[in-house]
Amino acid sequence: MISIKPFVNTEPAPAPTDAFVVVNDLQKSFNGTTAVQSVTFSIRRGEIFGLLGPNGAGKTTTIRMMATTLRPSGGEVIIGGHPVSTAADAVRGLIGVCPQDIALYMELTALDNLMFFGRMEGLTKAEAQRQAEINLDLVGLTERARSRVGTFSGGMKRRVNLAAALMNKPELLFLDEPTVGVDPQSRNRIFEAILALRQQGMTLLYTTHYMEEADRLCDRIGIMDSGRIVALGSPAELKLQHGASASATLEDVFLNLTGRRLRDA
Amino acid sequence: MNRISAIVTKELRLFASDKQQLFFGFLMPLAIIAMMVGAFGGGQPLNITGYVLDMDNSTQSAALIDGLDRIAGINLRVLDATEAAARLERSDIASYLVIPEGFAQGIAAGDVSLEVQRRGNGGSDGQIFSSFAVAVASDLAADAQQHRNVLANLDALGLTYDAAVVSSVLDEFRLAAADQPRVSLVMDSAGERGEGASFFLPGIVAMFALFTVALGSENIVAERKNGTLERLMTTRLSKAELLTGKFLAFGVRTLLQVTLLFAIGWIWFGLFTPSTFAQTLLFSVAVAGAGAAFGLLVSAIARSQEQAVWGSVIITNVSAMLGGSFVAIDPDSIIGKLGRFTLNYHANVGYRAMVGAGVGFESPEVWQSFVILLGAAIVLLLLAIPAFRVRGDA
Repeated sequence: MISIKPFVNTEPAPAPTDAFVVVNDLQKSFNGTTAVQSVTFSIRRGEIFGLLGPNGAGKTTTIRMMATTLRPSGGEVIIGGHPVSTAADAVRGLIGVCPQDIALYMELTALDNLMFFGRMEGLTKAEAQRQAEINLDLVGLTERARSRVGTFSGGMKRRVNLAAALMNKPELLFLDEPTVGVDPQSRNRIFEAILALRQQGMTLLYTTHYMEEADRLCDRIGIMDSGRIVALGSPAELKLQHGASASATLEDVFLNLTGRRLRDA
Repeated sequence: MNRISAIVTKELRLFASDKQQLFFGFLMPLAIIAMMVGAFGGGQPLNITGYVLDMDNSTQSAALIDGLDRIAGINLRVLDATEAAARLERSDIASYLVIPEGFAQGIAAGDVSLEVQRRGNGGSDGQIFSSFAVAVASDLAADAQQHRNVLANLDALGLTYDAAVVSSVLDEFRLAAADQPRVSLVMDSAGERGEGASFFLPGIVAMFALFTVALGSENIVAERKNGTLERLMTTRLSKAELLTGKFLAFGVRTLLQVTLLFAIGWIWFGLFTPSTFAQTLLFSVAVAGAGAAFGLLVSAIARSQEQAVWGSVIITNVSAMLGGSFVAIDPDSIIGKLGRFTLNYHANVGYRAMVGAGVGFESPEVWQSFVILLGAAIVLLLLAIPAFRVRGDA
């Protein structure tokens, strides 16, 4: 039985050190339409950095450029001292990506999925199996290791998706809306895993539409709208600078900055 | 190699778990080959059962039964009157031949009569059997006629003879003549070799090998759609390794498919010797390579799963028809000339030479087709690699 624990980030923010991730004046256009323009921010080693924004704000496009799968139209990303544009392979060795959509093979078992991604990271079969078992334990799926992912609930698939992103023990983990559509138990388990990873010193870039999650989990947050960063700081700083009152929530801040117009993109 | 072998293994496992792919890859070609051979194969040996009721019980009726029994492909069953009537009554048999009383006298007099008891038209087996019975009875009557003529001539010449000796000599002549085939019939079909299996098996195997690979390319489009392809590109896997893995997976899958189908063809139709089978599999490497490259190209061009599936269906079916998978096509016709631009044509030429004519790589037809298919594999790969996209919008 899975116990539900509070998922508040109680760890102190990492001491300011040299940035592990530097995003400088990043831009991307698709057929003349600008999706990301002049995005600049940095992430410290061991930090959980939240990237928030309404649909179509450019969060996923930014992550794709940082994760080496999309070539920027301008600007640069440096991860662990390696420019993404010229040292993509070195960057891939440092990162893990948990995409917004479930990027798994439904016909394969959870263990086989993880082992496959492990082998793509260059692990031997034995190493991949060992790491897969560790990761499945982290997300609470050891007992379902040999079940086909296609038979899993949405929450279980999300947890396998996260476990797959950890196969290379990354230094920087991209989590693109990892809790969309999952039940509270699975969500809680994901948060436990995220905090455990942070305790191990992993740097995380986290996107979500759930403001409460971001408020509790992230050390710093960048809010994007229309392809730009419109605010940057810790949750407390953002509330102080952009909140209408002393009791303002992060959601109030978000709506103040991005407006109340519906975004259907 | 670690990553490439993992991709190949994963693809083969996905293929093995995909019932639709297995159906299209293995069961459907087998069913179509069986159907085509059954419908157009020809060369079916005679295999009928004939039923006889002997009411005469004479030497001549025994000779007729013996004559029928010696015809290859006729399974003869002699019934008594009660059993014959009962089996016809309950439709257990469609007809039976009756050798009536007086049959021997009829032979001697040159006026032979046989009867057939039947239901409806007596069935095709019954009709064929009756024809054989008439032929054998005619031979008996002719022999008897000859016997009578010899004796009449000896009488006319006023010679003294021993009738038993003359009969014995004539019987020896007749038996000696019976041992020699007097008429032979050679059947030849129009167009290329028409022996069903050796014509249809190569064409259909080639068609389905190319068809399932193209259909399999839909998996890559699906991977692109559900994000696994992009996810893979965030790992240490290079694009070259990804494409090599996919290419090898498609190729190995095609080789497995072709090997199984030809092995069944070997067991079922006896089309191969160990040497021709081995050479056919070697030739299949080129077919598999061309098919795999074709599959990659389809997946590179297709924007959606529907495009991949329907594009594959249309291209492979048109190629199969132009390439002569089902019917022999005049190479000098417009269709024949167009067909030379298809992979199917060259696969068919090579396979039919090996399967139908039993030749190997010493034949120009085989090695030329092999080289053309390998060349096509390289060209298709060169076209597919730059067109290959991880995402639809990047």
